[in-house]
Amino acid sequence: MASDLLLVIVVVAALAFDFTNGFHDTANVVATSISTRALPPRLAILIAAVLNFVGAFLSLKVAATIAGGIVDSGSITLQVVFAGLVGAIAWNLLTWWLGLPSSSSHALIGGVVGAMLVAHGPDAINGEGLLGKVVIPALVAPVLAFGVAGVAILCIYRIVGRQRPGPTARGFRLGQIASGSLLALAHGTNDAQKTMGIITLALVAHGSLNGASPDVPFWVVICSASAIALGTYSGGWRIIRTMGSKIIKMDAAQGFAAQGSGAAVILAATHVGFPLSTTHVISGGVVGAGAAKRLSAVKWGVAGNMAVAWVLTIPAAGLTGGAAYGISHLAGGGTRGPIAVCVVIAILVGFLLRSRRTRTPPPLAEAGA
Amino acid sequence: MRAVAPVAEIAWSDLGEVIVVGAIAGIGLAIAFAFLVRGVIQAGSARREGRGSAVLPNVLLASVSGLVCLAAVVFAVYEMING
Repeated sequence: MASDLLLVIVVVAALAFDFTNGFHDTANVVATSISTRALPPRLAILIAAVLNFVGAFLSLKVAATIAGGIVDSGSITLQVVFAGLVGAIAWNLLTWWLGLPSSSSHALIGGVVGAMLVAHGPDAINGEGLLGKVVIPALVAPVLAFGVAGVAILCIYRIVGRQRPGPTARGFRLGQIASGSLLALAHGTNDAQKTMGIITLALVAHGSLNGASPDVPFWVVICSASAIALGTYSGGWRIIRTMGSKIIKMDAAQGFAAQGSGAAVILAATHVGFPLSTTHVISGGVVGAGAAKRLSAVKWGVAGNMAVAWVLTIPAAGLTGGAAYGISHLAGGGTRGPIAVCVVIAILVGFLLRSRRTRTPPPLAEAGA
Repeated sequence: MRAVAPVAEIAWSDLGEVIVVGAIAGIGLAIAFAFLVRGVIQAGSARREGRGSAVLPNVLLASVSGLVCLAAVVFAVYEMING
């Protein structure tokens, strides 16, 4: 009974993470379409949400447990999964608040690694897996997308450079609807699977699924697809602003080059089951499309902040995941642990909201009275 | 219920495939779509200006480029489903 309650808590936390993944990564899919006015904001987000939902049903290749190969999967417990999710959700919310696009997948991996370190020590971490599945893809994804988008936009300018700007821009705006839709589909295919993998992992740890050949139950697919679609529909406007206009001021051709390159790289990665971060790919594509036109067109300060956030993602989510596991363990583990973590989070959020209320200056009329 | 495939640890050949396929597809799609836009614009201009001989080659350019783009999108969706 107690372990059933714990499983429910973990599944709810996983779906909460999926929701934050959706609204955090909405910007990846829609920011360029919105900033070049290829689509109105609400319609862009609605299309992205629907295609994210559909994409989640298309493939399960990346759904192989997200932490598999990075940590000793035999030592994973429901408490570790829960603590890892807490770390990932906390980092996603913080970077959303700061308007910084960062990888939700890396946050999840960082959270689980941190919780495993506290729970079982460094022997439970597979350094080679961490290098191959996280560090190398994190270096390759933005550089590849940067290069592809850069060459793509140079080719585009060479081919359509002498055409009338009005019809050219209209043509590329139409193209962006297709490339943005493809990107949303690819994002749903890639990212919803991570939550499916985590819930499947929890079901194996609970004993509800056979660990030797775990199948993803259909209800897990439905719930994960719905959570990411709802999160996407909620729209992460802060990150949309950063991606859409703070890095570069894009024209329609640049938007198309960034989205098309991003979709091509993500789909190539999905095809071979290679775990690339969609955030890294699209951010690299946006910067590449801008830098190829003119290096000074890119606001390198904003791009630098994003790079710092990427580097900090795993350590910061790991620290939070480790702390969450520590609190859970101190509270006695079992079901009491995650409940204690929820109580601590509720208290912290309460303090945060209260301090924000105290800092808000009174309205002018009130201040003058 | 669908089976979950295992993920390799360091898959250098997969990484190489992602780089090559991603680059070819990304740049290829951009070139094909740019030719589609150029073909449509130039065919329209030629028609308006009464240059009949320039209409057909540009319509052909736009049609072939459009087909390449469509094929790329269909292939991408097919890969997502069956890949």
